[in-house]
Amino acid sequence: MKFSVSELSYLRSSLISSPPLRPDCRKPGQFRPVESEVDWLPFTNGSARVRAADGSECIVGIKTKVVARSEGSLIEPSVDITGYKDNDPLPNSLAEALRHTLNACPELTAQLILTEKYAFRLYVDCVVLSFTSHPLSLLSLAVFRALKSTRLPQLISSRDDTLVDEIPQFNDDWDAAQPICTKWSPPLVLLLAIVGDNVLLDPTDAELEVAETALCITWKNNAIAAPIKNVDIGSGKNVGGYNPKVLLDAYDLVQSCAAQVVSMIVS
Amino acid sequence: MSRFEIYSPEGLRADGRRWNELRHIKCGINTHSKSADGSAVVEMGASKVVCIVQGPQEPETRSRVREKATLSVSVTVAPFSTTERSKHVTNDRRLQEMSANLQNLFEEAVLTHLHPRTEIVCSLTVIAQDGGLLSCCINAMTLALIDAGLPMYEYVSACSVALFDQTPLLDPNNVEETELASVTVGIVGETDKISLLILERRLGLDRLPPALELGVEGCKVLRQVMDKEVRRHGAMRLASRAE
Repeated sequence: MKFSVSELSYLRSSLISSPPLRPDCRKPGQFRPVESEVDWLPFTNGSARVRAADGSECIVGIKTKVVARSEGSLIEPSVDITGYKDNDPLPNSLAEALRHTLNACPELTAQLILTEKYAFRLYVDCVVLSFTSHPLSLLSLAVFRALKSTRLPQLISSRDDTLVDEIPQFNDDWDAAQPICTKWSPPLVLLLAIVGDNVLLDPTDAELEVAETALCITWKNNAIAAPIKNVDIGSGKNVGGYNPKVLLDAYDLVQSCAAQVVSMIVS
Repeated sequence: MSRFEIYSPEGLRADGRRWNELRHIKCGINTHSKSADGSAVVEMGASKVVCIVQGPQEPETRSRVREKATLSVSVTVAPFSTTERSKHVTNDRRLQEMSANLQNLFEEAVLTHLHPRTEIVCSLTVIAQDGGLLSCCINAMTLALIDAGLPMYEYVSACSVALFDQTPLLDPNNVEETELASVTVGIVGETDKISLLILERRLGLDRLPPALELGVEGCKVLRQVMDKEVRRHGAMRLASRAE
């Protein structure tokens, strides 16, 4: 959506005031309501659909395949956005962000390893049907839900195949499949906008328009985890850098409200 | 020779249907009311397609400014839609051909001259595929265009028919479709006139008429199902307005 100069100026001055006044009256650490559904795709190991109140929607399907462990990365994320071409920067940068986050998760990789020679490769395929604000948060929520519902077939052959060559055999009974998330929680990427000295969780499109930059912070196992980085929001109107003190505020904000976000999407 | 028994001597197919039975059809209209002007979801058996329509709106490029509305159709296939995961590229030839077919078919059915110099953007997303992909897309697009409030002559409905020796099999699933030659039939309204006919493999000419006849019958049933859904949704909207 295009805004006039005076609209943007009004928006910016209300967001940099203390406490910030957001156009939808949210608190700085308040997430917009989302609804989600899991395990609804018949051909996948785990799937989720997340819908935000503004109509943004993301579908994630997770499929697995047994590969030799020497064959490169075990986690393969891909992002499709309706109306975008394959070589567009947005879907590719989102897929790259997901790859970073998921690869920085040793618990997940440990679950995928089958034997000394074989492992599951996890294909995390995301389809964004529509979006209004930056889709990273929504995408991450959907991946979080999908990973939570993912189950892998139970291995019935031996785990050790260093001496004898053996192709992994699996239990035919789908009820015996093991959930991938047992004692750990998958990573959740939260998007924050930095406006002046204020940090705002889950920014809308308009808020990003007047923000200095956006920050993504990963939340995993009830703690902040890597990666933490800047996100290119492409507005570039208020490029002037930001106060490093704001980063600490962002940390505090995530620490205080991430647990609420997790409980909101799980319920 | 197939590993599966496609059609048993008793007249039953692998999934327990008779030759003239459709799969379970489920359709929803106005499913993405907040993000699109028109939207619909159609499930035919295990196949599932979401269609989102934006418009009529101002065209993005000047080449689409014409004396009637331009339909632009894009088809996305989710990588997880098949049993074996496969990543499609957007400019896949098969998908491009499919969107061209859809565009041609719907330019006849939609009264495009009533919306000159506009563009109608239809995005189809295939979420699960188990045979009958094109017909599922056509039915979803009809419902989404109706939901967007675009004037149309009639419902466009489509259905595919596979041929097992002499017997036509209505609405084949993925196994039947890979083993047998199949034809997709699309009709506008309740006529017996065929608006779309796509045949992807070789088929004896003498075997085509019974297949077409069965296909048209299937389309008519589909039209009724879609009509029922549109009326159900319309009644709901009217009731909420009266309150």
